[in-house]
Amino acid sequence: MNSSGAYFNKQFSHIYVEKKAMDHDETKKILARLPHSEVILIDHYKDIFNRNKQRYNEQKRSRALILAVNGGELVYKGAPVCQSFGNPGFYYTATAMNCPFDCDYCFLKGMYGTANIVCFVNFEDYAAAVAKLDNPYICASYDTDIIGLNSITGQADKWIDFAGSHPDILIELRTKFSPARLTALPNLIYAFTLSPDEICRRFERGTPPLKARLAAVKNAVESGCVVRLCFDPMIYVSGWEGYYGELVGQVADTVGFEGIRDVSVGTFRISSQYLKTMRKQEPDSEVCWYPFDTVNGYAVYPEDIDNKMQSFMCGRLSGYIGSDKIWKWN
Amino acid sequence: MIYIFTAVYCEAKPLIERFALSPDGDYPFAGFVSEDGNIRLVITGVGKTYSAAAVSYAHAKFGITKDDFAVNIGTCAGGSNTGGAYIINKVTDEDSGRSYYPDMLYKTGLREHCVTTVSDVVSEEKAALDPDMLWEMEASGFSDVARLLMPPDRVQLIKVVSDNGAEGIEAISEALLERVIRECIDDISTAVDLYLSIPADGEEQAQEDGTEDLFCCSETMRQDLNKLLVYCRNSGRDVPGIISSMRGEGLIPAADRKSGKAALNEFKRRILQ
Repeated sequence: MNSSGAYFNKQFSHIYVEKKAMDHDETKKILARLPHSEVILIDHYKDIFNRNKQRYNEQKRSRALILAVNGGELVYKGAPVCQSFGNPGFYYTATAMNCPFDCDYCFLKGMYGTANIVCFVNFEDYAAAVAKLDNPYICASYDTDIIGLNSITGQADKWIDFAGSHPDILIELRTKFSPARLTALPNLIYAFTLSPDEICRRFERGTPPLKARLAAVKNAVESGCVVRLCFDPMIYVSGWEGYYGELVGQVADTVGFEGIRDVSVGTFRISSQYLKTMRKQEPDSEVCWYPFDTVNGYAVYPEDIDNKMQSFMCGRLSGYIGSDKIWKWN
Repeated sequence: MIYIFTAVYCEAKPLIERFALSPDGDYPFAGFVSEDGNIRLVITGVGKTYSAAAVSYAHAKFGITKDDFAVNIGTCAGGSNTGGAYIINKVTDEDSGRSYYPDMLYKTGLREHCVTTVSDVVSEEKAALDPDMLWEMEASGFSDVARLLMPPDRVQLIKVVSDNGAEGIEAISEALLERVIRECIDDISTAVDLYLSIPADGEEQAQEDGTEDLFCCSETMRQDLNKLLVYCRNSGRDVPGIISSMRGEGLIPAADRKSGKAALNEFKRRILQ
């Protein structure tokens, strides 16, 4: 055998189902979408997800799906390294944990230490928890790519339906994927993460290329959706100015900025603890092994580089979109 | 490298023959090893306590690494719906109720099944209660220890059904156990060959011999330098070129820690330019 693919089972060849999730309607729907998978009953999702000594780089070739009922905390206050876009009631929620893609820089690798994906099937409990909040801004796709997983979990559709029935709740679905379903609602933000082709190719394995993402953005704008563009995280590489400058030009040429609600700009930053784990998972990663500065427990680019990158990007963007629509992370 | 753990010699015998293993040493658990040293087999004795002890002992004695495989191969009782060899995807200890889940990443070609570890030989009546279950006596002990020492994708179990519940241990003959393993030896061998062919996970460090001496490094500086060199390797930076020009400028080798620190900062600055 000379191809590593020959050793491994297919993605989601195994589905671990909590006993208490087994009879849930969502579980049945998900299992029906993956009829050839081996189903293994478990007591608790952490019995699989939180095992010691798991290896991301092996598991990512044959990710398991874990279906569970989340009986713990369902909604969290937004983290300081995430952007609130001026919304005071900034929260995030995770109906799924972990991502089908394999980006070098993804904080989830540092947070979870496994490539397996958990999907919580009790969406109704999440919806109830979010509905209780006062005028919230909810990011529903921080700990996963909910649109990228939608063909299996259906969870993006659920959030879209929820947004339709709760016009006072602002919801962001962030993705690198092309949504199959676009619903134009004033309180539903489709947030597309855009990276230069060079960055996609080198550091964002398994994600759609820039061209596909731009097509998805265009489609969303033309469908009347509220669209946010996230130039975040910007990754420092040799020649970054050329790559990111070209990216802004490509957006202007293919989509334009007229139909864009706002944009975010941020350089790569991560909890120092997560970075330690990521370096173990990603021994060959240029992004993870950059000699970062540590500031208040976060690994960040040196201040001069950070300022230069964000200023450059904001400068380029301000040629196309008002400064009041450009959000920097710091 | 693969470490095979079987409970008794009659289960091991077909494996010893197939992989041409030779007796190895006189440690408490009888052992065998292949000529190239890539396969070791340990006979643990019957029951989960012995199985756990054997894994622990082998780990300490042979220095099993995270890239090695530990595979428990043995016989089991099976309900009436079972037969042949299985790769195990869930191990439940009947006494404690605890379960262990190996990662099921690899295409072994074997059918999958869960198994329950019991403390006594399973009777025909008990086996009849759950015609889809496998029953045996070592898997949970093996798993309990192996999961502490190795990644879950490297802890695997293969069980071959020998009977459908028996009236006492005397009904299970050595000849029976040897025969059922022998009947499945091709399937088992395919899985073992697959484990042997999986490449080891890449090692991460890019220490360049002698570089730290150029900067008169303290331990902290040495760690910083090592991380910096990994970044240089991963990003394709021209370390020899930078070192050479800094040598030419007389910045390195540093005479003392203080000038070494300044030189290291300069080295970093040039790398990030």
